[in-house]
Amino acid sequence: MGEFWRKLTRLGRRDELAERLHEELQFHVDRKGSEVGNRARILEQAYEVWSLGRAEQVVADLRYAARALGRSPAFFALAAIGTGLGVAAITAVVSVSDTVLVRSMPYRDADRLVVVSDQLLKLDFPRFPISIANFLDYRAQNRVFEDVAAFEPRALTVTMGGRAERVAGMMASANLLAVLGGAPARGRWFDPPENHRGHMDVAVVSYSYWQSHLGSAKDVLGQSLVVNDQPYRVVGVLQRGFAFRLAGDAPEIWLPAGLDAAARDAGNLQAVARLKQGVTLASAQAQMHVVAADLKQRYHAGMGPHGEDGGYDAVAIPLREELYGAVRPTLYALAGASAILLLLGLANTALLWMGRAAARRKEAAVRLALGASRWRVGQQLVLESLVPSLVGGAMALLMTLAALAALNSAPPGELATADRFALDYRVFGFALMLSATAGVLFGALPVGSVFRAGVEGRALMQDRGGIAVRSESRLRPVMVAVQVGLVCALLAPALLLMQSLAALESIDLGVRTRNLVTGYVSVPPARSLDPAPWYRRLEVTLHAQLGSGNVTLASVLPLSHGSGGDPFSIEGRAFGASGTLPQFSDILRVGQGYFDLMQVRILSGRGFEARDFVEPTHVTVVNATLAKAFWPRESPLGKRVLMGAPRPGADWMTIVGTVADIHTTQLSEAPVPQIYFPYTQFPTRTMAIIADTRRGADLAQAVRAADPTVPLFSVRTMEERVAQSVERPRLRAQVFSAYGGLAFLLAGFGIYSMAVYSALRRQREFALRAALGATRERLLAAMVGGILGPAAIGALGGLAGAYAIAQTMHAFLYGTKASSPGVYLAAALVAMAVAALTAGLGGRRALSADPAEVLRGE
Amino acid sequence: MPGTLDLMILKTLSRTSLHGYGIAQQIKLSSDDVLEVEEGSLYPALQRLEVKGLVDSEWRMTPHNRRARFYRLSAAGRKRLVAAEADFDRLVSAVQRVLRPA
Repeated sequence: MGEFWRKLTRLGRRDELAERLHEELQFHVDRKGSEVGNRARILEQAYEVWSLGRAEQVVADLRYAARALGRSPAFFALAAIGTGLGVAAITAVVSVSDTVLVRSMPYRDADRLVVVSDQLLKLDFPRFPISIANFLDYRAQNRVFEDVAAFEPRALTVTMGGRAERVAGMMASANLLAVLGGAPARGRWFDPPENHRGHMDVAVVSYSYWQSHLGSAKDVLGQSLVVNDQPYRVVGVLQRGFAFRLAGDAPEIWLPAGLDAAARDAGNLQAVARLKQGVTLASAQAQMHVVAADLKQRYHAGMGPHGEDGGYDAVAIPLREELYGAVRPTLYALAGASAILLLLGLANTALLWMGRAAARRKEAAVRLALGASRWRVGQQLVLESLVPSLVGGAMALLMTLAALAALNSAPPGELATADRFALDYRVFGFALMLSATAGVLFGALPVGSVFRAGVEGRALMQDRGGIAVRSESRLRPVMVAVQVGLVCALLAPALLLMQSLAALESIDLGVRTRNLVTGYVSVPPARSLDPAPWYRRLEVTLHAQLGSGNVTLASVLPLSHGSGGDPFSIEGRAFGASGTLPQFSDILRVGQGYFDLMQVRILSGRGFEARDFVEPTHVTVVNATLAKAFWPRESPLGKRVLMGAPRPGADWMTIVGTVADIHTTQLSEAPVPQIYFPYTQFPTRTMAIIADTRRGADLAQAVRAADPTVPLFSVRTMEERVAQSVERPRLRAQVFSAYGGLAFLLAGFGIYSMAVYSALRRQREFALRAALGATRERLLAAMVGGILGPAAIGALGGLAGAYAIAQTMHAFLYGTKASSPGVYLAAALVAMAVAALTAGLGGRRALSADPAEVLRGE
Repeated sequence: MPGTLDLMILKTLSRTSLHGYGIAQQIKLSSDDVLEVEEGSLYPALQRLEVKGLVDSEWRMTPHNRRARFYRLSAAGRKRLVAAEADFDRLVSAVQRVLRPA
């Protein structure tokens, strides 16, 4: 290394060194008194000593290659960009996938973590919250887990300095942190007694909450925190960056979950467990089945709400699956698309190089004729082929780093992970190597035929129609087919996603979405044990300040509710006995004027009236889906229902009207049965306020006027909520459209440049045919026709690839079949049209030369 | 023999630093006029040794008040000399055994 370095430092001082040697030799001559032989020869040998040898040739050849490529910047840019895009796409997608699907999650030994959940399969609940009693039994009875911990996400209201704020919280068992392998940065985590009544007034805060809300105070431990109007003592701050949740926002405040033994059918816990060393997932699954069967037998655990067998079981799911299982199809689809983009870049590079092969062969022949060694010419050719790949690779590296940095700084969304995305250099290296290999394969090898050709052959190379061009003319249609195929393979999935997005967006929500602003309020139990009077006061204030026709309340906003509903009874029917239908319904508590403001159509009977909110009129309104499901042949008006099981002394609610369905869950889910109540007759703690945007600015003001200690949170316009619900489908459609567009451009330029060169090569033939009477149109038609055959074959192959990608998208296609023939036909036609059009354009350019000129030029 | 010139230069410089002409003279003297180093070999060899870091060089004044390039053995050169001498001895005794078998 030292020697190389010393040679390098001599690189810029060779004149000085030569000068020095001259002086030394002169000194020698003077002392010796006679000449020292051939001074020039000595100097030459010295230069050889100083030279960097092969490396120096490489530098010179690279400079030569850069100059040559600089003369055709369009070619160079296309080749580099084609390579760069493919390499960048595959590197970014694989880097992200690797982090999400393979690399460790930010917990100790995380692949031994499993989520434990109940399920009631017969009632269509693949996940069901765990009761405290069940949880305690899971902990005690299993022999496969080191420990099982409970948690329950809960939004909390924190009051600080007279201002109330809604904060993401998590109720946790004392062993949760140990199971996950986290640690407090300050103070301590919960102790087991703190999960029990009388000792639960302690809180642990996240590091970020400690910084943002508690001023990073050193004396934070022991400070009081008012959560839901109750004082809690801060006992710890979690380590920086530690977060745990299965969905939603990362918790800022951790409180002890209450684990006093309670009824087996009540409770809202989730659980995470750590497998014992060496225990497989399968054996853990088996054990949970056994434990569940035992509980079922002993305590009748997991009965449905109607006392029926709910199909109860307990399951263990790997934490990674639970966290990232949903994004896997998206990542697979993206990886497939990226691989195709990479291949397209390679095919494009190949086509571009082939177009230049003739000219470069001629150049190589000239250099050989002038005495350059084969080795030297070959090395130069290889280097020249590498330059676009290397520049493309450098571009790709920058693009990928930028993309990952953007992802890392974006708020956590579907890919929520505490891990930062890091560039996967193995994939980058592999992709770069592929493209470099393709460069050499298509850039240097075809030109290399000049070496085999012999002297006469080389002379022929200078002729446009020369030999060695034949192998290329065989390869060219293959490349066209490959490009068209790859475009198809990207275009069809993009079209499918766009169609799916359009189908989603065309769904009628059943409610007004324009010019509405929405926000939530939640009344702490300590403020008002019965929330109804508090909401009554709020409603009065809102009506007074905003105008009664401009504002209303609702417990459920459109597109905001989870799947699944609550059990209800129908008077005169056995509980839960409507054939195979589980008697479940969404409950919507609404305020005065809800149906009017939200423009929900009343189909029969009436909506709610003012008196329904003041006196217990025991009335309800149901939606069309519920009416049709449970009274398929008669009107539900006048029938009576009850939430939950029938019980003595319960107030049955009379159905006074039916309304049109609205989408309360996801757009892609069909509307579920819905039962409406006046909120005063069936109150709940958390309600949404819906107001006309004209008075939206006054909304927060009005809520503050009603009660300054209850925060208005999650304020968004209804349109924003709708847009949010199609955010992911839209993003997917956009990403794939971008891939499709890039593929389009790359293939278009590739085929165009190929057409130009091949037409130039055949200029003499065309000129001859023109002289013999062929029209320009005939010639162009012949060229385009020559492209269409390979293009059609390519399109067929591409559609097979498209179908494979579409299969991975199955999970997120709505109202669109992965096999929709129209989409594939459209993709194939568009791709072939691009091939034909670019070929025609290229050919026209080449044909614009005057035939007489061309023939004379021979 | 290959490397012999380099070895002789290193050996010569191990006693004192010298300019190119001095090195040639010294080798000639030490070998009782048997070995005459050609300038065409000497100067490229000096460049090679310097690039390899075995010798250093600097301008100095001669007793006759002329500027000359003096070469000096570096630490690496000294190490190499020891190894090269041992190699050479082994080679010579091997050749002797071949030429005059006991």
